[in-house]
Amino acid sequence: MEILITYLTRRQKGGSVSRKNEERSSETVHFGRSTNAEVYLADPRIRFEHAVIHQRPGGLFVEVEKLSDVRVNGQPTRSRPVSVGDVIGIGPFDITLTEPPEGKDIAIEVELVRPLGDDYAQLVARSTVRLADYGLRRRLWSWVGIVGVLVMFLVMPIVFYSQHTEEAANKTVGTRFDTAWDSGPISASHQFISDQCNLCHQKPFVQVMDGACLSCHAPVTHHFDTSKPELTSVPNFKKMADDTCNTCHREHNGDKELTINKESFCIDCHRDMEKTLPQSKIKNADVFDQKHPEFRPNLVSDAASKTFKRVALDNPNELLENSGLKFPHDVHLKKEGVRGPKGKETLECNSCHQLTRGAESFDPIGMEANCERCHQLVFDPRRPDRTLPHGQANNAQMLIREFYSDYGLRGGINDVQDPVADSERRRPGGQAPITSQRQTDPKAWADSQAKRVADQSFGKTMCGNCHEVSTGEGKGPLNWAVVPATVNKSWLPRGRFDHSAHTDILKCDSCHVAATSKKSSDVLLPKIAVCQSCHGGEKVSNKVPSTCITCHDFHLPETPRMGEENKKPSGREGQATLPQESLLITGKTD
Amino acid sequence: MQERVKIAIVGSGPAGLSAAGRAAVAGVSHVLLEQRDHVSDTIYKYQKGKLVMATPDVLPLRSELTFQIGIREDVLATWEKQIAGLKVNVRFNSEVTGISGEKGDFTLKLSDGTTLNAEYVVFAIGLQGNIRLLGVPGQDREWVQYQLNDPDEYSDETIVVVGAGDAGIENALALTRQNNVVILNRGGEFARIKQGNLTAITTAIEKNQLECIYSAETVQVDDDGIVVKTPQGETKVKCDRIIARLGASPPRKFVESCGITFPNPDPSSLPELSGQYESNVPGLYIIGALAGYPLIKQAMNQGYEVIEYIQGNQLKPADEPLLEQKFANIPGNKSVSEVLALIQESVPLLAGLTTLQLREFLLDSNVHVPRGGDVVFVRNDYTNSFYSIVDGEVNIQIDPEDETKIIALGKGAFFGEMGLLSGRRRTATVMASKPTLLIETPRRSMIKLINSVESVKRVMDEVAVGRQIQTYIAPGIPLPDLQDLIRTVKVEKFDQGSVLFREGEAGDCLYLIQRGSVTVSREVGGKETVISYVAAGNYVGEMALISNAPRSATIRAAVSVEALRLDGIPFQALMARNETVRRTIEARYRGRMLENIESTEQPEAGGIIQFLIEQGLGEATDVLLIDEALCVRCDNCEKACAETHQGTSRLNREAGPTYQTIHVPTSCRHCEHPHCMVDCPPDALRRNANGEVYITDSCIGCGNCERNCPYGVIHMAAKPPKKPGLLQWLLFGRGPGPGQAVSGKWGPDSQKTGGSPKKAVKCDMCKDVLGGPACVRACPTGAALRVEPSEFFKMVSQGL
Amino acid sequence: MHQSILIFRNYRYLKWALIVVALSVLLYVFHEPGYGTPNGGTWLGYTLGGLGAVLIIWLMWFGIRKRRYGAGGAPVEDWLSAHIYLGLALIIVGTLHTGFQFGWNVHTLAYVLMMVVVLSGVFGLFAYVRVPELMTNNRRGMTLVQMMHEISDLDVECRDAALALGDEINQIVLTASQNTRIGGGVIRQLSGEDPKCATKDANRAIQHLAENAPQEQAEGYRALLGLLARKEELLSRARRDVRYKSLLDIWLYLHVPLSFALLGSLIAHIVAVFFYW
Repeated sequence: MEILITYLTRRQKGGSVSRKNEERSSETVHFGRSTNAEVYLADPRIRFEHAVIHQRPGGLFVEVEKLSDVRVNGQPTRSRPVSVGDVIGIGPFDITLTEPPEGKDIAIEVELVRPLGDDYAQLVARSTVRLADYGLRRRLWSWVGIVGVLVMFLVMPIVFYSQHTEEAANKTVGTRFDTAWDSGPISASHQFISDQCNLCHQKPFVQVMDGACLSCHAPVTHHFDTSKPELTSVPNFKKMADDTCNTCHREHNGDKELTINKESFCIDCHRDMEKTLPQSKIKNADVFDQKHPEFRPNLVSDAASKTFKRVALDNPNELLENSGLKFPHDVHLKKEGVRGPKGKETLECNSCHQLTRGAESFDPIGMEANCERCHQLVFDPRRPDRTLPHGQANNAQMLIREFYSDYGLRGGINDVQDPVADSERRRPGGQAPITSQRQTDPKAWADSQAKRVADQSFGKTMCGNCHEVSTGEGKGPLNWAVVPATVNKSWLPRGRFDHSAHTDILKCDSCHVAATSKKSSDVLLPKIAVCQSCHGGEKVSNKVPSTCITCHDFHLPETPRMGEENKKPSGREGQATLPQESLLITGKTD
Repeated sequence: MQERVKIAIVGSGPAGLSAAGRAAVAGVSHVLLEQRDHVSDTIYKYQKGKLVMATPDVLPLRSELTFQIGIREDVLATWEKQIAGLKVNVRFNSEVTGISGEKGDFTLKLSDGTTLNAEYVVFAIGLQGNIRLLGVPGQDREWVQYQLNDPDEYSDETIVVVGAGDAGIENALALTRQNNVVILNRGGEFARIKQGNLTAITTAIEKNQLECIYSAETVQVDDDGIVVKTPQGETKVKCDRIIARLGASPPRKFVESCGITFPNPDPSSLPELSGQYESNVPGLYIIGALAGYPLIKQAMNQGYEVIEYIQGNQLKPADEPLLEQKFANIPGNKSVSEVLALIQESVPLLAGLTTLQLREFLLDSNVHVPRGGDVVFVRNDYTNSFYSIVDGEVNIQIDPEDETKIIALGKGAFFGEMGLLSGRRRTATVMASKPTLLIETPRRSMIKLINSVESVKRVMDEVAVGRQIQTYIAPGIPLPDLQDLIRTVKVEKFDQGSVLFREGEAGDCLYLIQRGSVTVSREVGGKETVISYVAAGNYVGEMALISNAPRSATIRAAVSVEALRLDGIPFQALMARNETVRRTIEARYRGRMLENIESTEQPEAGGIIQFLIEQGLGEATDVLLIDEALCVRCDNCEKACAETHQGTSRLNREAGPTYQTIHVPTSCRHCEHPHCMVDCPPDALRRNANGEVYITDSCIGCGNCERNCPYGVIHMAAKPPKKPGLLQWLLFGRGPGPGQAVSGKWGPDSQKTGGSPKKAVKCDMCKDVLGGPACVRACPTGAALRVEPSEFFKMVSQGL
Repeated sequence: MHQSILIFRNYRYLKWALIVVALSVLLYVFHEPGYGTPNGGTWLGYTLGGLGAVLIIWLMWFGIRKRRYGAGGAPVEDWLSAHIYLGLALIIVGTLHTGFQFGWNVHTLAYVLMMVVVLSGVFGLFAYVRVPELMTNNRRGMTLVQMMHEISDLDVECRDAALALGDEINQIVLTASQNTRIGGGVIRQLSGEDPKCATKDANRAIQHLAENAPQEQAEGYRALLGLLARKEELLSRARRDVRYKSLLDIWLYLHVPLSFALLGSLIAHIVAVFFYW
């Protein structure tokens, strides 16, 4: 049959249509990619042999080859008759049967209605070749970043701060936004208030004020007497007086910096006191193991008048402790021991010197506590239960006299067995004469007895043994007097020394040579060299690094309190005020 | 009976209208013949809303019609109203096909077959020529247009482009971007078109982007489409618009057919006219663009004047006051005519000019009266104006080292012509030696003069040759001594790529490059390798003459080159005679020897030069290069360019070729002879003293420069509205970011009321920007580099 | 001809940076804090902190400066060079400011952010120095757009070449041309490869079919395979190009947002420090 094939190409947007005519003559009309198909459909979506139209007695028939996609007027089909006006959809093509012109049996219009489209445009559409096109947004994330951070770490804490000040403490750390502001660990000692920032940080943007500290640490005093204008007029002193607590005491650094601990801090002024404060008598001090002055213990210069004097240990001539006592350490510390109530016993330092429980220093030595066990004040062997009162010389003499008067009156006067009488021995070979007055005058006898016993116990056996005694008319009821003793309590009043910290590793005699000390006027303190053998300045490498405050206090007890700069220093409970030179504690006396 | 008028005015452009208007007022019988169905077609075809300039502002308008700067629509409307008011006798749709007869009795043949008689004929036909029409019924439907101003004006239209010439194809391709285009091709294939266009159109057709109907004859234009006759029979192509680009017949042929002669074959030359616009054919007058007055105002004035002249009235030309002004500072206040006389008798170069030409010449020119010692221009300026000495004397310092070396030029001489030729920097400093009277003429009006006045051209050439030899080869030698050398000089032109001479040839001459530039190449390892680049103002070929050895290298024209061929013998004679010449030349010789040796050491440098020459750097004076080894593709250069120039970037970083790591982006090269300057109606393209070629605000957006630029670095763009500040974008993304394609709200839109019209934009080297080119300043990694090619080539041959 | 941003102006800004670093380190070494270890609270701490803050602000200003095209003063190249070296110097200055005290707080957060920003910048620098040349070599004078154009042209050619071959082939070719994609997600772009590239699969499949193809079709197969091979090669180049570009860009998506996060934490840090003084 004669076939007229018209290929239509329509411009998109329903523009013009251009037609290309082709004439064939064949029995069947094949559609497909095959080049010998009558209707050559160049499109990958078309099969090699896609469909065919037969001329049949019944008319035209479209038949589908294999499982191809063919629709007649939209209806998928395998085989069916077609006639003029039918639209056969083959893949992307529309095949329209039109009225054949003269001499043609069949006329076909072929149009590609679903073109593949612009490959480039599609490729571009499929591809994403720039990060920005993928949706990364710098501006957005920048905003998220800055706003997020500001809200979390600036706004929230401030909001929290503004309303948490009232119900301060009962906030638990978890809900506290300003913990993000915490610049470091709180010292152990303040840990218990670590969740109440506003206790110390009372006003925003204002450094922590002394008030905050003093509300707890009320009694803290200054380093010098700030009430003295001549001192506060010196710039450095002025600054020292004005500096706030947190200049030296820094928090949020754990424990290590709670207190300033640099020798330079002290040395800067103390290395050259002439410059710092010309009128001062304080000696220059520098790094401990290099330029620290020799210790100057506070010694009793005169026991009677209770006067003290500071003498440097390197000044042997004046180095005497005139306590008014006689105590030979060597006698007491004999290896073979000394006679005690229960026979021989060997004494150690701590037999007498007991560390005060929990304290750095020792219990004061006292007659009752330390001596009496051996040195009992028994004056009459017949009455060991009667002892003389210690520290009361006159009472003791009265007691002796009264004792013998009473004894005589009770007839002791005639008692031949009287050991006391024996004391009046007849000369050797002679018979004991019984004198007449012995029978006649008991008073005189009692007096003589008392006199004798007093002389003996005051002069030799008892008081005089340890104390300076003197005798003479009117000195006392029986003409005896005891010079009052003065026992030093603190030899180094400015320094602090913790014996307990040393006793584990050191013996007493490592520092104190007592075993050979014969006189109680000996000063048994070790020289500074002894300390320096172990202790050095803060930068020392082969010794124990020690700064000034290891032994010395900054806040001196006898100065005005912080915040009360102009008040005169006043005594303070718990802390005796020191006179400028020494710390004095007197023994009991009347 | 045949119509008869006193004056027939051909062409209803500004000149014609004005003439007709004057005639009407003067009551002279006249007819105004217009081939279209509307007046002044040229302006009519301007793009919608386009601004019509009224330059020169100073020139007073002398016409019955009014005219001032305004948009196309208003200007046309006023004129139509006025000619109606003045009862001007216009005849539309009547194209003049021929003129016969002589003064007093001319016969004009019209396209509709009728003829008419006139005593005088005034040509005001302009230069546009007659655009060929479809020549079928319906060809004048308003949706049939014969030119396309802005393809982006139309979108989603079905447009039929008739004519498969370059113009038609370019239009069609441009239109397919937004429209449904059918192109009608008379032939069975595309013939006689640029290769680029051919490939473009064929691929477009393959890609089904546009439809082409081959061997199609247009039958007629209906209301809704165009009927086309093809071998398959007639079909009708429905369409919304028809654009016919069938070319135009240039007016010159027609004008010559009327017996008017032109001074020389140069297409830009214009017929010689008397002071009263009368051509060599008595009674036949020429005004307007064809008379060399492209500006509307001038044309209108002439229209008025020519009528007066024809009636025998004398009147001072309208430019009288202007000239008076220009001459004001000339000592001993002379009248205009006196000054004109003085100039003509004292400057032989200008002696041959008609007063008309002279007036024109002087209108463009400026008069200077430097005192002794005043500097006129300085060496290495990029100014390219031309000076003639009316009186006094100037000294030219020819030797930069030694100020005492001078050539004195006296009354009647001229200088600065080298700028006209080479388009390069000034080669010498010129200062007045005593009180002097100078006329400074801008390059383009001088060139216009050279092309239209034979005598001027001749004199110029002669002197120029001598001068160049003096400047470049034999400094400080008086012209007379050079005569026998000059006599042998021939000016030779070479197309790009053609050879001046080959390595190994016998050398019998040397070439002084007068215009363009050449490459020097040698056989290295069996293949020709460029070793260096020689710019205008230098000479090549001296080596062979000195050593009498064969040529040591091949010289090719890097761009189209104009060179002076100096014969060998007299040249050698000159060297023999003159010590200094010999020494300079020999010094140069040694330099070249060195170059040759270096070249063999690093051929890859030659490769780069070769490549850059291919990219047209041969004619560049300043070019943007990108070192891709450093370029991080941040496009900051483009953004910088866009931001410093109203949002449109003048450079495209990615486009453009790359050699090794040297990338040449498409950006302006500021050519020695800028192609863009060639025809710019308002003379908006300028070059300033530092060499930047830039566009002034007087641009009318005609797009000539865009078409003329071979490097595609000029675009038409409208100024977009002011966009929000940088911080607003940075922080909130308001408005387009730096260099982002602007569209919609912030986009430019010339249709939008108040939107600014499209104007040409190009790189101006950021001449007004602090610290130089923004692209280079904005490059974070220093990959962008602006260089003068000659320097760059030096860098290259010294091994980067 | 040009010099890398690193040796720019003969290391001028490296020298500046070194001076800053040297000064900071010296001060830090010879500085005697009033007591204990150094930290942000000493006068040196405040000095270094201030310096660091000023540096950060100045470094961030680069983002604005490089977009202020009219601006006079030093060209952007100077700014970038300085940005790089002073940015690196910031590591030292910032670290010294901390006095090596870190904790779970906003102060350390600021420090960490600072370090991350600087490090991302270091990566960027690396990319800027390394990638451009690779990119150029990979492109061989073609732009990505040109590559994609050529690829889609090849698609058409492939389909035409396939028409004469079996239905199966046509199916494969069609899917290849309709499913091939370049780039994609961030990972895909950075990797520069497409593990399940439709074209590659098609190529393999057709090679397989070609082995036992009828003689008369051999020529057609060869042509088709040739086209597919070219397409594959182009694809891998295009993907590599995408990879390089993304390498040049990706770090900025860390650098910039984190800079702003840093700015935020910096403000918070400063306020916090003086709020609880």
